[in-house]
Amino acid sequence: MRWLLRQAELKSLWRPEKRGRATCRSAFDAHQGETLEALGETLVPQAREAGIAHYIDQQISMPPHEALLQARIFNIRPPFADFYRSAIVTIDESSRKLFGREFALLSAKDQHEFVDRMRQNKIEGWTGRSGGAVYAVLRADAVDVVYGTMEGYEALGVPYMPHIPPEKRW
Amino acid sequence: MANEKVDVVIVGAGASGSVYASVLAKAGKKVVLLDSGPDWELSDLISSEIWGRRVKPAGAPILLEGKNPMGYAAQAGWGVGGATLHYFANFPRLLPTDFRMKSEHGRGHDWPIAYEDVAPFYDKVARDIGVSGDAKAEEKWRPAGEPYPMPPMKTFRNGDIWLEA
Repeated sequence: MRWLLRQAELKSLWRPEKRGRATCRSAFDAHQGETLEALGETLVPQAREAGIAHYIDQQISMPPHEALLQARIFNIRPPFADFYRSAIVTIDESSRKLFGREFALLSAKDQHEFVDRMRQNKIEGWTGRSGGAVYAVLRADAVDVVYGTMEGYEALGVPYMPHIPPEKRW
Repeated sequence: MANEKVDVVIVGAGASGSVYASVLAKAGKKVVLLDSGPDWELSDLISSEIWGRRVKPAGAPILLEGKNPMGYAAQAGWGVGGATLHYFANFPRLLPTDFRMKSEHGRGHDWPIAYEDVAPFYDKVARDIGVSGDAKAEEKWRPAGEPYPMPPMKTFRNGDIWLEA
């Protein structure tokens, strides 16, 4: 019952349509989507609004050699969905042990505290890819959606000056 | 083509392989140059940090083993042209002191050769591929060598900052 309530609570949080994204298919459930958004927002402010969950969702839904994710550069073994799903499971398990709730339901202060420990591999009982590696990949994704686009450059006041401008953000 | 006899087969059409093939072809040799991955069109090379990852290695992850494994995918390319598909188009030279790290800094090893030994080859590569720049005005740190064969290009703001540094 408690799980169902939390699922309902999370569903109300992750609503891709609020960010103007297609919602016909998703590789993530509501909880996973909201957790990615919460992680992204903790790592780089504005990542939620910029569509980090949509970005990862879309990219893991295509063949790995077409994906634009930094996971490729970090030498993550495809399918990339496995990396994100297992990271979310580990993050939630650790979050429950440390703070008594899933990561997406923590206060912003606790989310920052958690991510800081994860970054330094200072979470006991962590399983799978190291906390530092998970931090690096998710942070890279958050930087991508917030600053890696023409809009992101404009927000920073940096001239984009492309030879061939991208027609889509990703 | 499959049964045609050639003088040289080069695996990898990146910075080294393509220049080597060009030198051999100019010398009258018949050369086949092999590379893996897509044969990207110029229009595919979109100016974007995100879209640019299409030319990074794809497929099976690169095995990283040994005492000090180092990621490789960031530097490598995927497709005809190898890493030159996305390289920075800069040709900085090693400094004379780089060859004497052990004796001058107590780190690593000294090279068995000196900068003077490789300097003529830096000059040759610069001539073969047409490096541009003004070594005297723009690279005060650059060790001895021939002037660059091509005139300097217009610098943008980030280049100006490097020049000021």
